[in-house]
Amino acid sequence: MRTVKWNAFLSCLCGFAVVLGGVAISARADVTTETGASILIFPKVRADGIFDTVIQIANLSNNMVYAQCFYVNGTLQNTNTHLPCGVPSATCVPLCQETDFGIYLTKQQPTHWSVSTGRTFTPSPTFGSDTSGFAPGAVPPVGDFVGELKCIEVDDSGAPITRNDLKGEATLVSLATIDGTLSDQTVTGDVAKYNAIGIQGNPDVAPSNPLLLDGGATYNACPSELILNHFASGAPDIVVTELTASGILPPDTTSAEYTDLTLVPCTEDFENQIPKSVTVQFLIYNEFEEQYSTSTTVSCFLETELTNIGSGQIFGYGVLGTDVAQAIITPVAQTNGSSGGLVGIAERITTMTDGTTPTAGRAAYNLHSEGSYIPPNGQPDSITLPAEQ
Amino acid sequence: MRTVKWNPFLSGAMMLLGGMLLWAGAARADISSTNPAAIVVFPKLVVNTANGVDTIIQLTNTAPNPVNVRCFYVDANGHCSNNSAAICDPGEPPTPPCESGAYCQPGWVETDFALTLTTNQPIVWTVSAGLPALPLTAEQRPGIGGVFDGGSIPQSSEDPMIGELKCVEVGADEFPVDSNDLKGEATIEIVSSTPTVDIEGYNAIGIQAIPGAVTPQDNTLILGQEYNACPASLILDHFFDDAPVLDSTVRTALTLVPCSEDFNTQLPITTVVQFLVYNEYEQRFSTSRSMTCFAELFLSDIDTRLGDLNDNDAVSIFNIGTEGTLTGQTVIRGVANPTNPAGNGLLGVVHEFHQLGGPGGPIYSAAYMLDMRGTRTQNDVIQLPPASPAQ
Repeated sequence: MRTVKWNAFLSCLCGFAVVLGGVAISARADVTTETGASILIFPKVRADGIFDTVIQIANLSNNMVYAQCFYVNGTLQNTNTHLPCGVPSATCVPLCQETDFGIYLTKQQPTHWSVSTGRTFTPSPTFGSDTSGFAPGAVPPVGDFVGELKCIEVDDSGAPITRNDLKGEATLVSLATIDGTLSDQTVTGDVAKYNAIGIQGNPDVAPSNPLLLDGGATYNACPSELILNHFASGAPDIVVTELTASGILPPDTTSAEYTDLTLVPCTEDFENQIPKSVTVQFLIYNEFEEQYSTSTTVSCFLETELTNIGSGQIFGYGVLGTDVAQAIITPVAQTNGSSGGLVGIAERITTMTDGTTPTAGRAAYNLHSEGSYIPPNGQPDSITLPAEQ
Repeated sequence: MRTVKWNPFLSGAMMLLGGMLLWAGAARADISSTNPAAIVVFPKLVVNTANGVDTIIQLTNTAPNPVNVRCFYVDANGHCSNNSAAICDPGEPPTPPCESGAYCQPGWVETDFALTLTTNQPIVWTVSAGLPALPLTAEQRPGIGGVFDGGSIPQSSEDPMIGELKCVEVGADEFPVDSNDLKGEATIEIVSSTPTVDIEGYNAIGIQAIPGAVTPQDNTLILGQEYNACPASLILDHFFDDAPVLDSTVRTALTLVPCSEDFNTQLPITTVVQFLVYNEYEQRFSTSRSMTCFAELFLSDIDTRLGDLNDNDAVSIFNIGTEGTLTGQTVIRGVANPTNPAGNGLLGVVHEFHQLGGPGGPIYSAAYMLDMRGTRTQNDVIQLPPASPAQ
């Protein structure tokens, strides 16, 4: 009989490694909006004359931190005329054009800029002025922009690192009063704010380009499903209804709720500028537990009011029949098994009128998420940086 | 010389056990506002219907099966020391409605209710009006499998009111269970007949149960042992008060609530809160303030006189007049009190107010979440009252 002599040290090591492997997966199984990360995603950034966006990014560490940031312009344009267009369709697609820049932050340093003006280096900024503080680098201004911003933590040579030192917020500020349709209504000065979505890296590895969102071995994976709690589009606002019924608001006051959903694919190819397309399925439950479904394709960037998704108006109050609903959003795999994860935010728009004067208010919410998405073909989401980064 | 013979199997098993303990620690590290959870916390609710202010709560069951929920409103209104019916703000100097010589006593009154949500069911209500019957029951139509929702939500105990809401997933016996099926959102609305409407929304903070760790038939919830631990510190990225941002002047209000709460004996917990502030020059400042049960403060009020009268806000370390840069990063930490059997962990939400065109201009608001760092070394405890005399 053959005997095997166990190596105590090795058996310890193996046991520990097995468990650590488990830790790596379980502890890094999700995107975050509340803890430091190595990749920050601001899914909705506008600087189009109607809205401007103030970006805030902070370094959570006591080390100098560098980040490479990428604006992705998702402005819709007609594929035939190259003119701006309104609702996404086969001939109305996002421009998907990328502009990048680098920033650097000293220990615990917060910084900010407005997207329309960027941030320039001012040698002697005035006390309390917009450029006061250590300059984070030159942030270019962008105009006529609706899209996303991704920032990736890098070292001083530009190579990606996974120290999870970044956090951020975006404030969408309305610059004009617009009496439009559905969610295209706003008043000057209104604000909505959301936390940037963070993808944490595994601090024990040195990532290479492209960055793999592989469920924790390198970076966390994107979620396998997003959950959106929303009001049925066109439903009356329940606060306005109650205050009107109690006589606090005039009897002819009416209101309606809308939800603007923004989704961006986690996969980006900044080197080859190839936009990623992901088909997503929406499974909707109303307050009566009734179930509906529809789908759409997100190519590079999608920002739309819910009733523009699918053709059945199933997000509308007339179909749903209840004030609120829960929509579960999942990526769909293609026949070859390819697919990709998504992240996003929602903006709720409450419109109100007294019969003559319309008004609106906006609030932004981070979407809930569950699970880690690795497509059936086993190819995880990836972010390809330009070669010189 | 004495030698010790290692047992390879045992040593491997021990390391496995050690690793598992490490894993358990890691798994407790993530309270989140974007994942379904067993406990959902809405740190700030406001009702003042006479002034067009109300809060909409959305609560959703994300599970493919019905769930039971126990919820606890905390009314944090202050009342005048000489007139318990007069509602006042403990964060303001003693002004009307409190009569001369009186002061504003802070208060914390808890009201609880129970619900059953059916499969994947979302519900919505306003804090002022509550919800006398849940949708399926109100319509007298069953959900999938003939199941009805159940329970009712009371209207706010006072109007005006400020406070928080905590909801806990429980089993059929109304004891807490280790399922993570709840999510929620709150929207604070301010409307007027002008007409204007301003809304700010935030996700409820979710505290996840650790599968298998929740003690059966026990109303004591231990965060850090049965549920995820509260964060060691909160991180607030903010504009300094009175900073000019685009065409507006910005102020920020911070709402903090304790992780620990005793809904059974109704004893509030006092926590000293340390604030460590960095501006865009990496310059560091700090201050502290104590809070009990619930605190909502404009940042500049944290280290100066409360309210608007002779408040010295311009010399606050949270004011642009002191800091000189538009934004800052503040690390917030509840100081552990060894004499307190419950912990001193904190949760919160941030509200930003943009006044267009400066003083006198319209004010628009937005809410967002605090970041979290680490986990508390001391457990926090939520004590539920018995759901019935049999408990």
